[in-house]
Amino acid sequence: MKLRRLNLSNDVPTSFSCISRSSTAFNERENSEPIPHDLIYELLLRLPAKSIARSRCLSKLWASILRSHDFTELFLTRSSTRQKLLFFCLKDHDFFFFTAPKNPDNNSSLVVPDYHMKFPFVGIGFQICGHVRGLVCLTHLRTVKGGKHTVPEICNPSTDNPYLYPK
Amino acid sequence: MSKKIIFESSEGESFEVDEAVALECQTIKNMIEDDCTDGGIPLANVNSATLTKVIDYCKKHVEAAAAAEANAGDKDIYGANKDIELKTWDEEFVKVDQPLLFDLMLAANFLIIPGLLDLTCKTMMRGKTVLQIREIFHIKKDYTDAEEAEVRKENAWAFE
Repeated sequence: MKLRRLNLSNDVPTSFSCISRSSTAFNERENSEPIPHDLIYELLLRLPAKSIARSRCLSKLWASILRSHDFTELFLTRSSTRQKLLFFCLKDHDFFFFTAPKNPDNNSSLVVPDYHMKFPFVGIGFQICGHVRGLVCLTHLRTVKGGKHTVPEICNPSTDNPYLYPK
Repeated sequence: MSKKIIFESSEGESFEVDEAVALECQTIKNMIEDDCTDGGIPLANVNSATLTKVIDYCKKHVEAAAAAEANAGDKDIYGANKDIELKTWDEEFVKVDQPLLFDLMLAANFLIIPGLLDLTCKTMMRGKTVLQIREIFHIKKDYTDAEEAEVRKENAWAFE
């Protein structure tokens, strides 16, 4: 019988064969097998960025999957199919980033955006220049070596790590 | 009368379902197209308890899709409510113990039922700590304590 998609390489545990188990009390059962490698991908691809970062702490294997080029490409492809709106606001001396689903699940006119990150902002006259693959570039005026200069800054609202450029 | 497909669980128990229900599984759909489903489909890796749930899921989603199609003409608030109803049904559906949820996820992956795979994966990981996930998936901690502390520090923002 043909089972397409089970074309896993030999070193990957295709542990579908031992699901039936001698069970004692139903609630005391445990997953009897390790999770198949391809399913780790499926699981991780559905997680928000924060959970991905937490999952790096699970083990070296999981961390290596999460850092691999294949995974990040797939993650980007998947997440760009569920587009979100990015909001930001400047309050006092902090930038706040929020997102909201582009197509909310219900017809409610009220949408509660998810808070992502904030980072301190010390310049004036900021402008969003553009965005690409989840990164946002903004510029602002800052006093550098006595003169006012336009300073670009790149940030990733998903990961809470503003990259200042140039340092 | 619609065509029937027979599944056989790992315990050898037979389950008869409408072809439309079986078609929810991409793997089975391929087999039906290749005309190799006569005499039943043995699923040596899916036990009866899991298969019962999988069939429930597929049935519900086939019915919901049919109802949505029947109501396609009048897309009003009623249609939206139907969506919410199915979502609520899904949420109730995955309120099962961890091993069954795990088996459902494996079955959804194996049978290729995208909606069920999505639902079980998300439920599996939701609100779990690093320690809980390690326990559930039998992940061996291969970090030394110092290495783990370092990785946690690098990703500290995610634990806030």
